[in-house]
Amino acid sequence: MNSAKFHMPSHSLLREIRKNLWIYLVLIPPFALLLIFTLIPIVQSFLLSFKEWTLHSTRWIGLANFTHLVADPVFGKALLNTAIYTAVVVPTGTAIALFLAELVRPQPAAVQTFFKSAFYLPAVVAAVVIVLVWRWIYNPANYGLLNYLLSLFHKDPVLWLQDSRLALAALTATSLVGGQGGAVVFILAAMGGIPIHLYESARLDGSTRSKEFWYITLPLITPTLLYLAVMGTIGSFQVFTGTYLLTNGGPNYATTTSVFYIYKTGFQHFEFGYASVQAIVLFLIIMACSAFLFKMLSEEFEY
Amino acid sequence: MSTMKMNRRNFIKLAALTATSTALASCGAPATVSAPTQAPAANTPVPAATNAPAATTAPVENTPVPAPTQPPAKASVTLKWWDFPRSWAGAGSAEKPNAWNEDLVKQYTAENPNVTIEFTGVSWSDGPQKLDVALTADQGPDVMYGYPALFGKMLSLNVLQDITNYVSLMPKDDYNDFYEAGWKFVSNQGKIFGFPWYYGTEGEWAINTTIVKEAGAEDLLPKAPDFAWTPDQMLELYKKCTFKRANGDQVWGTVVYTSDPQGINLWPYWSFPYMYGAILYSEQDRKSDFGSEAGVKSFQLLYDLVNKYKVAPPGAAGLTSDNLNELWNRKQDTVRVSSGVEIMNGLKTAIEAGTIQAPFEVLPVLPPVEKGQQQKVSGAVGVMMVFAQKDSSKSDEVFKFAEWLTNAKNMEVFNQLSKLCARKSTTAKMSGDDPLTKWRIQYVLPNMASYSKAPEDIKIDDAWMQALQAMYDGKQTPEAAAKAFQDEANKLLQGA
Repeated sequence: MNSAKFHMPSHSLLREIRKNLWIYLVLIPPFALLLIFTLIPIVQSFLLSFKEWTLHSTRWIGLANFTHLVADPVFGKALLNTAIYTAVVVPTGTAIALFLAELVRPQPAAVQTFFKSAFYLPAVVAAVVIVLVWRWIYNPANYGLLNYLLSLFHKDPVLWLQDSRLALAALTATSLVGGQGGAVVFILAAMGGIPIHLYESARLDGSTRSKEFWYITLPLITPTLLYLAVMGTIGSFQVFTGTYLLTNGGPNYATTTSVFYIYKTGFQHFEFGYASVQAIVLFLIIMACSAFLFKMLSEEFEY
Repeated sequence: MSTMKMNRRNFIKLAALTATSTALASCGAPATVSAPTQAPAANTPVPAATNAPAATTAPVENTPVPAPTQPPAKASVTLKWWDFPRSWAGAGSAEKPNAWNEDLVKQYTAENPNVTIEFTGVSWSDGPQKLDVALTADQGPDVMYGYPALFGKMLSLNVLQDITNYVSLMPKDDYNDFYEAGWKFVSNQGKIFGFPWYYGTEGEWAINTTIVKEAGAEDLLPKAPDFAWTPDQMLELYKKCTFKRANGDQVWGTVVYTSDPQGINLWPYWSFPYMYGAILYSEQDRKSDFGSEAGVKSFQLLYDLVNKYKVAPPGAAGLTSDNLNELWNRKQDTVRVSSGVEIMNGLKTAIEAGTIQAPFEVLPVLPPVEKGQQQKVSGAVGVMMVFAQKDSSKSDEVFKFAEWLTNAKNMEVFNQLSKLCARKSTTAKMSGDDPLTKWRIQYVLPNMASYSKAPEDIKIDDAWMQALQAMYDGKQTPEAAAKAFQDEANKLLQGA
């Protein structure tokens, strides 16, 4: 009779675990949190994408949600809006942060500290508060800040959030203006790690400030820039607060983003299965973009 | 300290063990939500209407007195009651908006010691979202006030309890004390899903007569006794009341907004289809013919108000209710298409709070309607909703509490807000000869149009909102937008 073979974990593995038991005990709580609040929900969401789930019942529907997704023009529009938003915010935001960091770098330490704190301040304010301020700035009447400034030049008010041609750009601007504090701090830290003697050698050879930036600073902080690009991409693909508070995804889907549409599908239409499909697709897209950027990160740099 | 040796083989084994555990943990029993339990059987006794048994008299000549039997102790029950701020009610104030609710909890639990009430106050702004999340997590309330749109949404989500059997056991006088239109509003396909509480008929329009006087257009106002008018008369008023003040402020005849998280919140603009005899869809036929002449006409008028006559601000595709409120409070909007009486009644408080500046006078009027068409006022019955009960043992207490909240005595709280509530006796007691209440009872209530209650309603209302946005965005003509909405509504209704 053949018996099924079951291999117990090898003695060496058990011995290793016993020898370093305290390490594993310390790792259990954070790992448990990761498991309960991240890994298990991801797997459940994947399974939910094959079901029709309402407040009352669930039933298996196979690939119906996926076929619905392919034919859904709103999801396509949401993806496009999100892609445009990301394509603008990530490189532009990184460039702005780089520019600001390069301006701050040569300053004395006290001045650097002041500017680092000033640029980072918006990061500690709740995003909702910042967006509500933007709502006032973009108010379509002539008492909105921007339209008031235009009125001083006798210009008509602009429909920043009410015109589908402008709304996405206006939403994008809310992320670019004042939202680069964290990146500035990261880049300044990376710049601080560049050996001084490289700049001294370059100056002895008659190099200008701009040449120093292009040929010394930029190559040596590229790993940091690419890290910011990856994190920025992941964050931008999940844009939600501005859409939810400023435009409700309108006008006419002009600012509907992927996460906003997922939220609307799940928590307003109560179609949790269909919302899960969208979340899975977004997850795969973000993973693909991150993998691509990580591949670029894999190059090594030497001083 | 020894160093950990973890070679690649051991690491892979450990990782595989972890991944297998994850998969097994996540593939547990699916999170099925059991269907709501049905309403109690018809022979469930009505607790409120019974009288205490008469006290036994003294025994007669050696007749043994039977030992008194104690009524069976009632099981303890905990009810969850959610409500919005009621700063106007009872002891309520801006600082303690739910003081009235807390007083009611004390009163009820004193009379019903076996009942514990967990009261939760929710805000108007995020209360609906909180309710959605709670329902999703199966942690929703047992009883909660539902303003009309919220009630419609809960009905379409099928999360409310059918209380028809319970209501059928109410004393006839008590049942008939509610306005019949209120019972109609809380009914769907012959079943009752809540107790009418507030009879607001929020579809009454509001005209800022201060602006009308400023524009010299008093002769264009709708006249007593009915304050009815036609779309053409409405347009004339809008045109006269669209002007620029010396300080540069633009005053508009009206404001149209179409950007909202949910289409059902645009219900005030259903007045426009009603003007021409159109409705979004028929609940009975489960069909929409909004693309017909009447529906197109209503979309055309809405479009022309902004683009042709320019009596409403541009950007309607992206304007929100906040934009509307700002312009109204700044006296830059002459006519609002909902809540006429509530706005008028709230003026004093708003002026004291500094939200608006005096002088600010409002006249509630009927929505305009084309000659020959039936007057319809978007229905607004606030409902004391009873949510589906999974635990049938506490159903009776839940119904009893909801019924108590809507009894004649407790409804007198509306004396502080509006004389019109869902009960005739209380309305009569509070209003006396109040001309406004008489007007509402005579001209508004008989013409109340209920919200549709199809399960697909949430998405149909969203589709109506999107059709309006596409129209105002210039992507579709009014005719194409009306037709697009009709097609989408029929697709949803017929399950295509």
